[in-house]
Amino acid sequence: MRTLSGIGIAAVVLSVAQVPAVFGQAIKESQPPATQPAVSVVLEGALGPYTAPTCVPGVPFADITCTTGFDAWIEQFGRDGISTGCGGGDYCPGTPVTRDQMAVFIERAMRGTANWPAHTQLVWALKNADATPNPTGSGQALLAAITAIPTSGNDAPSASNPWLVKLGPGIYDLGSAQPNLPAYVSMEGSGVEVTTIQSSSGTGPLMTCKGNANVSFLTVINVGTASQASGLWLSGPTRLSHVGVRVSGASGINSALVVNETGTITLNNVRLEASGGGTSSNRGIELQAGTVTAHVGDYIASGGSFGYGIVLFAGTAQIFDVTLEGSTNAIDNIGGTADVAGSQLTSTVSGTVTCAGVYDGSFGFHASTCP
Amino acid sequence: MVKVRRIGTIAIASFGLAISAALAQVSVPPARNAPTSPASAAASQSVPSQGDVSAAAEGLIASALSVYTPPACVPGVPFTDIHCTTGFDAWIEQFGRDGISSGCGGGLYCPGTPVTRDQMAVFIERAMRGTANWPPHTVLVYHHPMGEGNSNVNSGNELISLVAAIPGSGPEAPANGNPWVVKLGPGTWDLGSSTLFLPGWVSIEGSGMDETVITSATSGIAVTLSVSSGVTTLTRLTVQNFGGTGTGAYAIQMNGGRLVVDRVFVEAVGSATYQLGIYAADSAIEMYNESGAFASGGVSFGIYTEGSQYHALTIHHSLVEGLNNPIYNNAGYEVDMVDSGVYDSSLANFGAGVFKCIGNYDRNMNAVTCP
Repeated sequence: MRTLSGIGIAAVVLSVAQVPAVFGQAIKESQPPATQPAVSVVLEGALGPYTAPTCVPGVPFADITCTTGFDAWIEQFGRDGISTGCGGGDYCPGTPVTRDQMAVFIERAMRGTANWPAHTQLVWALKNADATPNPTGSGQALLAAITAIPTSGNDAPSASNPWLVKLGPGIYDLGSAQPNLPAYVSMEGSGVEVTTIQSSSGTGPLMTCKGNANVSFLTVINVGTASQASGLWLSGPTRLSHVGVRVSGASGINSALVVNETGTITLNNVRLEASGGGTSSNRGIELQAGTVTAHVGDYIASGGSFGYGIVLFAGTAQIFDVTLEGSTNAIDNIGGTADVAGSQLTSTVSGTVTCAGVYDGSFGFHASTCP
Repeated sequence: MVKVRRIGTIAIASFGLAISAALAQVSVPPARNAPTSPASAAASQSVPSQGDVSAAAEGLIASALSVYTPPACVPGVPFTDIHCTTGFDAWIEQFGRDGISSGCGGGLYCPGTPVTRDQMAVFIERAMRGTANWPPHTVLVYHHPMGEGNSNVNSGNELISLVAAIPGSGPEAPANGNPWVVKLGPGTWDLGSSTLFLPGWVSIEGSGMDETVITSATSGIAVTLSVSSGVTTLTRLTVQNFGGTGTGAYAIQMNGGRLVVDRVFVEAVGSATYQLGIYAADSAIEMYNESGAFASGGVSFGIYTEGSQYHALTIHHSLVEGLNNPIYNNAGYEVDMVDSGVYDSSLANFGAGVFKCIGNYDRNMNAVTCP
């Protein structure tokens, strides 16, 4: 026999008969004042702009029968993944919450579950026991969050079901991992130089973005020392906004951004920097296919044997209000189409490039020619 | 005191564990007698509980549901009665580290004690509004409801105190690699006659240029926001000083470091001798994306530079406006100014300073040349 008193409003909404005997014993709840739950229900309904969907008896908890104002909220509590109930398919609404249960409920509500916030992965930087930053742990948390996004089923990212990975301030070190950001999954940091994803990945990119998504408000740094390294590899239509990318460690080619897809890439307020001792060349953008439309930014390549703000092997680049700075050429058009307007080119171009209203490194104006 | 007896042995097949919760005697003190701490209501509990069936069920399913997984449990840290024997325990430790609960007194957490409604209110409010550790390195600041007296002043005072609470030293202190963010909701934060001192490597993110306003009305040498080191980014807000009557009134004062403003409007309007939108002494400044620096009244400059060190002032797609000079480059900076508005007067340059301009215009859309 278990007897409690003064346990609060939830206890009154169920009669003794409604409380399941999940403890393998009879449970008797003493009744709080009859007016308390009614008042609370009214207040909760009046205060919340959010209204839980209409209660469905028994779903997902068998003992939630849609007879009180709490019940729709309890069902949402279950759907959000904050509680899976008290066992046996029940929620046990009148049972007092213990402190150990509460810790889990609130932490889940704070840090997110598979269903909360909806289609959003919250990732916070971790700290060591001495409170110093733990970039490696933070990077692993980021990788785990990406991996946990479903790849099939009703919840999988799609055109009508986009997802977001939201990153708090801090350094996220991926080590040598090279994750894929799935299609229809966006990533949003807390600001350039505020949220930084870094790695020392081997040959290839720090991260591949599969497209139909946004990447914004963060910095990407790849210091990998393989023969080739890049920051972001875009293999699907992607919008980058307020993003910084730095790549510097490869012995051969350092490319801040590689675009290899047939759709459109939109860049807005993006700063790309490729530097280091590349024996081949360093490239702000390496355009292999597709169309890049860029507004406002800096694409800078320095160091190494050759440096190009942008190299076009194919595809089309339309660039507005961007500073293009290459130690060899601001633009090297090998096999694509390059149109530039209202931008600064601090060095010459190679190949066919159409320029309109551009200016050089000394701010000398060129109405219809390239510097 | 009410006595609660738990009886039973629970087998959890998935964990391969058996939790014996036999005969745990728990004393539950009256919650409303809590002296100072909401969690201290249960301080007199002498026998921590292993949890009951429902707790075990929640713990069991917790790991399966949650994207986030707390770090491995460490027995006794930070609560001596958390022994890492249940699925809850790692969550409870994280609950403590996040600052949502400091335990029930005496270094204990009292996991099996029911939560009272008064305790719950504090726990959930802490989770919603943030603690020193939650969200990590992020200070959440929401405007006081308009019904709370002078809500703008109350909100301003709270902003000052919350920023002042950011650690100034130790492993948590903001630094390169350990950035912090202050996130402001919509509303006006009136600092009164105080200055908001922002540490280096702490950024402020508002909810929109017109939606989040930091304002002050001061006299004498008046500063609304002061930064002296590191990198600071301000985004999506307005910073005002409307009250200067003495020697000078500055909306933002920089005494070192680098300031990046992105979609930020800065204005100083008053009857002080000098009105300065941004005062930069030995500091670098970058303005982007429709940001503005405006000053009116007395001798007024949108941006005023001073000091002995070389720095860069970069302005792209923004607006500077001052009745005397939109920019008064008194410190030998290099000013790169692109596609920006220069209103009400001409740019002023002194000493070794140099302006590099392209595509700038006045209020009538006439081209503006650099000094």
